[in-house]
Amino acid sequence: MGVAGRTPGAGEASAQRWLRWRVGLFVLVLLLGFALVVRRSFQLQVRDGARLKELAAQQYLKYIELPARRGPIFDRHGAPLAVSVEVDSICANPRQVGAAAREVATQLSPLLGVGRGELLGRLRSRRFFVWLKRRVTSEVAGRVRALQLPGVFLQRESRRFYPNGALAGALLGFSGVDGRGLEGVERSLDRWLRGSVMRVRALRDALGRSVLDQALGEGERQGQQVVLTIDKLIQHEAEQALAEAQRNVVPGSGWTAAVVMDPWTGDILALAGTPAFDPNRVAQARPSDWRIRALADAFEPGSTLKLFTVMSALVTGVTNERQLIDCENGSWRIGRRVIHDHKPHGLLSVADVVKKSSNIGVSKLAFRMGKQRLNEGLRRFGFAQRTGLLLPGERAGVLHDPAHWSDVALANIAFGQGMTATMVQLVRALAAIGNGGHLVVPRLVLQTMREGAAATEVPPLRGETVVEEDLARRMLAMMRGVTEDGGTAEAAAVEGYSVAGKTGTAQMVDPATGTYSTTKWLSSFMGLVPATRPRLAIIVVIKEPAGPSHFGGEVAGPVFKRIAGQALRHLGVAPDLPVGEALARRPGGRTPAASVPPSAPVEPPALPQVADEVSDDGHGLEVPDFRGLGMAEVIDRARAAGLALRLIGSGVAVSQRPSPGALVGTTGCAVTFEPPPWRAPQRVARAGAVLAATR
Amino acid sequence: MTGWGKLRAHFDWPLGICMVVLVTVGLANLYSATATTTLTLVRQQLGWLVLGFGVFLVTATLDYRLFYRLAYPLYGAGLLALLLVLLVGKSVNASQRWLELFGFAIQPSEPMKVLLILALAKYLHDDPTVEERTLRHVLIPFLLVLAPVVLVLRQPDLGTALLILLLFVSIMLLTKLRLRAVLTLLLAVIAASPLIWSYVLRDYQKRRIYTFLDPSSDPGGSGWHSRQSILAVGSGGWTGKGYLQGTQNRLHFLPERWTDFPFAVWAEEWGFLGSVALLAVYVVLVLLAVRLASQARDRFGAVLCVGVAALLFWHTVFSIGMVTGTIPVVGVTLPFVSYGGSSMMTTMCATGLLMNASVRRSSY
Repeated sequence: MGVAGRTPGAGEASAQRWLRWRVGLFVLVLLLGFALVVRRSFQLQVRDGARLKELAAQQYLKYIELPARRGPIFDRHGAPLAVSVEVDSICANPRQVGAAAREVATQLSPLLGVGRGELLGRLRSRRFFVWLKRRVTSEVAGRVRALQLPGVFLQRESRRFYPNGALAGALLGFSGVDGRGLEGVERSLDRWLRGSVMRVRALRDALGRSVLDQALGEGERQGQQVVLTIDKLIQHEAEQALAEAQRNVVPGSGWTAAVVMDPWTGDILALAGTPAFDPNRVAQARPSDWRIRALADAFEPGSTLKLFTVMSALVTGVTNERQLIDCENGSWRIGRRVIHDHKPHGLLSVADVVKKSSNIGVSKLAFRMGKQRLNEGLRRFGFAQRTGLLLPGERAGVLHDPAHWSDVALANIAFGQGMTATMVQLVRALAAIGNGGHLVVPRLVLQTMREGAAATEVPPLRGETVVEEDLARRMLAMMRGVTEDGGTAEAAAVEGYSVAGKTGTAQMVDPATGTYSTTKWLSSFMGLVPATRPRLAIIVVIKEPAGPSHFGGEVAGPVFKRIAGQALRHLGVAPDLPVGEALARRPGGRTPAASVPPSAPVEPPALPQVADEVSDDGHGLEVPDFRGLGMAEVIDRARAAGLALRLIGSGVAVSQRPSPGALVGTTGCAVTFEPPPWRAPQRVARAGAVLAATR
Repeated sequence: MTGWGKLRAHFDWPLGICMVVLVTVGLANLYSATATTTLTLVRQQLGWLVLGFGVFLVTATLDYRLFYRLAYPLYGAGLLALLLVLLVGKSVNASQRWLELFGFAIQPSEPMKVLLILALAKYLHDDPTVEERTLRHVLIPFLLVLAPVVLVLRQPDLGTALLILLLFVSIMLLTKLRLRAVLTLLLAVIAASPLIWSYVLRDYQKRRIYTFLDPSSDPGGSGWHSRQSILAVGSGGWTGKGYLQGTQNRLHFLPERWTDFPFAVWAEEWGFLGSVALLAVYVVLVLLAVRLASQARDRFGAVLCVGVAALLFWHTVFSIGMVTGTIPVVGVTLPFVSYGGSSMMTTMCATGLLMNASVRRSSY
């Protein structure tokens, strides 16, 4: 019955044999199938194993390049001018975002301030990694983190911050979103500041998420700390003085600039200009704002160049300072052209030619020297060649081949027309007069440091001797007349200090007509203080001044006076004149510095000082509580509040002045940071097991 | 003697040991494949395992004749379930393969394979013909197979359809077919293939076949699965990267690594030696089944055992072949090792039938 009842009978032996044969065939097929699988396995795992292993590793092992944290920039006393703080950037893995792209874009668009369509475009790419917004504020980062969107991540990046705002803005320049210096010091010193790009071995999973294999390397890979020769206080003072001038006498498209140099070392103590440029707000600025006028603009210097014409005349021995020159009562014909002085003079000594700035006087000296010797003299003072200052965009200026100079050109060049020069060239040539005849190499970097230890020292270069010391000293003496009674720049006299200076008032070529404009001027003043033993060489240039006067002595002179006075007091230089006597002093009178009674209490220059007291006018800003925050957050909050900041130290904010809740004016707040007591080890727990295997 | 008593008395130890080894490997492998994300799958699989063992015990102890008697109704129920899938089924990845039942997703095409084996066994047992079979004699079994194949292709599930056809071919290999019939069938298949290509295969299936022929044509798209699993298997080398150390697996490069690609996980972590060892267990299991077929006391049992042997064989070879890039990606599970309730139940049920046949072969 049942199944068994229908079993084929035992007599069918042939059928049984046949079945056994079939089963044998069946087993053979099975074994063949398994053998094929084993063979394939062998091919893949043993024969091609190494190659496939390599291919697999390429997938999950990748080297990502991280820009190292950019090195900070300090002034010569260690005040931070540019620092890097860690902030969050928002990025995404489009493959992981996938179908949620629309939703994610809608949510992030208002938060990041990026158009929804643009975000959507990036989120729909086929890549594993896209930036959505670089360097967001901590508040935005927190809100994005809270959304917990799939495939959207935050990546720590360093952001550049300039704690002094516009101070030395154009000089410092700025760096781009990928940590490359783009302008100013950031650009020219990029190789130090940038540090080496870190190649970090990273494991990557199938979603393209990076699982870092190594903790972010600090130390040697970080950019170096750069210490500039800039003195923050002098820089600030120069900027304040220029800003005032810009406000008062430069109404239009003009600009102002000043360079303060130590004539002995060539150190650039200040390199300032207006309009101001805040590198924290590059987006709101125009390229012309971050142009470093002092070396990127070569202009016809005008009368300031007479110093070097006279100097050349003295060097070549065609004259001496007491020789009398006929200044032709203010009008001298050369061929078909007539040269004028702005005031008619008769016979003037060479010293008075300098003091009164006579065009005719220096023209005559130029004729005595001849084209070749004037050309050589000027070139010896460094004109028509770059000074080598470590800043981008330096111009060499133009001094044509003397073989092509006409007589009129010779006369023009003698008083600084028909050739161009930069402010840095002028101040360096001036410094040579102040330091006894050495053409220094302008120095902008004192040293670079790596983890607090000096990495690169930049020694001052004395440069070649271009005039004898005695001649330089005699020139210095002549220049003192300029700020004295009857000189062209009485307004530049600095109370308590002797000044050796020279004015310049150059007519500017009107680009429309190609001739000299009668309304556009470039007013300048440059001088050495104290004249007895110069500590500072300063040049001030004001382009297109308007107002009662355009003369260099009256426009640039007061700016020079203010910068020089504040800088000298800041440097603690003892006055070499009795206070109140600067103007009354007669030439030849000896007032050695030693005879001066201990100077009046030195008043510290005004800086963006921190208010100790609460402003009671009720219009102040309320100071937020910064304590416990990281530097990036402090900066974010201060910026949101419109508050100026002074950052001291690094790490976590531990104290602040004024206290939270206080009202301050524009004075800002000082925040002191200290390193946190401990730091959580950077480790990626998830990849731990994998790492152990792949190392 | 009751079924239970028989089982205890004549338990087929080699079969049981193979089963336990494979199940253990499967669990360990699943843990490795999912530990980086969730343990839920391991927990669920444990549940399926317990349930599956129950199914194994039931099928191993029930009276043999019950299956014979219920073969057609069970087959009918299977067809009905497949029909229901098309009508009210749940879609995953653009194919409709699942039935929602008591909160569980059931894939009826899996048990259908066993039910088909039962039905074929009954038909061939009942068919008195012993002389060489002509096409006419094959027509009815072919229709029995065609119905589920068509339904499964509609889901669409190319892999399962192909597997069912191969199951049929394997079983028919053991019956006495005329050479002419074999040739005619072959011709028919060749003639039908262009039609199948244009009317049955979906675009994504065609694309898979294209990428199989040239996997580098689209490494990020449909070639991705194949390429990733080849990399995983290949990077295992001789001895593998060690348990829980497979980078392709744990960094989520392997797709479907707990259902369709578990062998890649295994091969990456245990290397060539591990792969061969695992394969050896399958070989033993299949050969055991074939031996049982030749020892079966009637044709029903013989066909049943051959069917199960073919089922295990084709599943294993397909799954591993796909993982190693030998055949296109079709989504076939590795018996005992792949995650999934339907697959586990089917495999356990099939093994239970083997055990049943083994236990009864000597007790007339």
